[in-house]
Amino acid sequence: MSFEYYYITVVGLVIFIVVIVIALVMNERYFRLIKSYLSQTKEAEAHGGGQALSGEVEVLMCPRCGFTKTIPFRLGDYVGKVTNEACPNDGERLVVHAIYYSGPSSQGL
Amino acid sequence: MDLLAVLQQVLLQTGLGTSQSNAWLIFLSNIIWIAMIFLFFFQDYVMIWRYAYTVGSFLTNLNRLITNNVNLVINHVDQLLRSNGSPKNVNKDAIEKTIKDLMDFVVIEPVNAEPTGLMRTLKLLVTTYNDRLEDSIRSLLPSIERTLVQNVVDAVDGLRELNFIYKVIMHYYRLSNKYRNPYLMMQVYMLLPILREYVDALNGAISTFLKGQPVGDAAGPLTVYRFMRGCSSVEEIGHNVKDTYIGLCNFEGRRVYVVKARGPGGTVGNLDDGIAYLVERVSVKPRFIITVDAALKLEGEKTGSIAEGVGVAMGGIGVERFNIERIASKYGIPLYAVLIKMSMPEALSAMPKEVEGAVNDAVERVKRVIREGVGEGEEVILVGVGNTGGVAQ
Repeated sequence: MSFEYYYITVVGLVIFIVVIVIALVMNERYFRLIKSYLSQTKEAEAHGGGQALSGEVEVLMCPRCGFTKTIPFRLGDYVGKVTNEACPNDGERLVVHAIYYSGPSSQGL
Repeated sequence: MDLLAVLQQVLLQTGLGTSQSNAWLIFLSNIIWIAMIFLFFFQDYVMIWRYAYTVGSFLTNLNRLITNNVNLVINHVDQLLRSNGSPKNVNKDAIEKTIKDLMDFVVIEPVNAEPTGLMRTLKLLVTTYNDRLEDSIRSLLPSIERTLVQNVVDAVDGLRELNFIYKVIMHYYRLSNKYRNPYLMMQVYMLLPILREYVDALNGAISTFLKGQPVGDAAGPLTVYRFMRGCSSVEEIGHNVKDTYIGLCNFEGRRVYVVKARGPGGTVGNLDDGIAYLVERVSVKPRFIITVDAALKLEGEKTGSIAEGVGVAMGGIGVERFNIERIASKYGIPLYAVLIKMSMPEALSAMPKEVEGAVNDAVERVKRVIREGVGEGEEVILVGVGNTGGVAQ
């Protein structure tokens, strides 16, 4: 087979594959999937393999000495609630100081 | 002789190939070029197919998401009833019917050709809508404490919003197919990224409200809560404004009147009525009215960044903002605003850590503004704007 036939075939195939790859990358769904995968990888690296407390957490604080303790969020708790847990320093009952979400954003549609 | 061999013979006969080995390569390259020419001339149709496919898949996912959230709310109501000692056989069909009726509930905008009293009418409609929603949920949860009922009300409100988006997008999708009009589909397609973000935010909000967690929008009430912790004394002022907390706080010799929605149930309160009560009934003469609220950030702005300014920091349809501005202009009270920046999903979903950290900065800013602008013995009103779900006082 002559060089021209090889050339036209290879160029045609390369263009076709490139177009398909661009279409896949530009498609929003794949783009979002790739992006979320990369961000999750970065998050995991930043947190040293998920050792830090992440997700929905609440911070308990002693109103007297300022002692704080971070625990996973418990259903029914709210900011300002006086819990039954006592402060290890002065025995004062701990108050829910903050409730927040720490971690990568959840995926939707 | 099979079909491939016949095709090869045809190619050879028509001169497209000079030998059997390269005939297939030439045939393949011709197919590729024909496909590319086809795509070039018919790219509009290809794009329309893609638009229709993307919008259709968005609608399918949105429908599934609504169904999941309806089930989530039904199960939550069921659990609340069971935990309260209700009979074992809870009528789930009745719950579902009520929720679906509320999802289709409409608020008709008032006539605005004659604008006199328009804000009063809007306020009446908003109040009626909120009362109706709460009464309906209350009928499902007759003996449950109000805080939990308010959380379900907020979740159903989110469901109603999702359902509305679904119906509007479905309307344009069907209309485009009915009249074979690609431009309607194109417009919806272009709006999809924004809609998708909003839908994701609402989706996160529903489960967050049901759990009674603070959302990002609770940054305003949380700022007021933390400010009050720094006061030497706090006392609640008795009043008849619904779902609103009004307190008097002594901050370094200044009399700070704090106004926020009454938590920890999910509500935005009636902050304008609270301020009107203080200024017109209690005869408070504030040096400032300071409003703290979550504000939508622009792309490029950092979540949790804080901006200060003048005016009323308050979103929504503008009824409450109008009423506060009217009171302030009537009595000549300067308006000061502190904004905590966040995106739409962050405002509606569980409060992110960055926003929680920014609340401490906002408290410090409020303290600085009060120290600089309000003398000892003078009065100031501090308003925490936003949904106070998960934040008490």
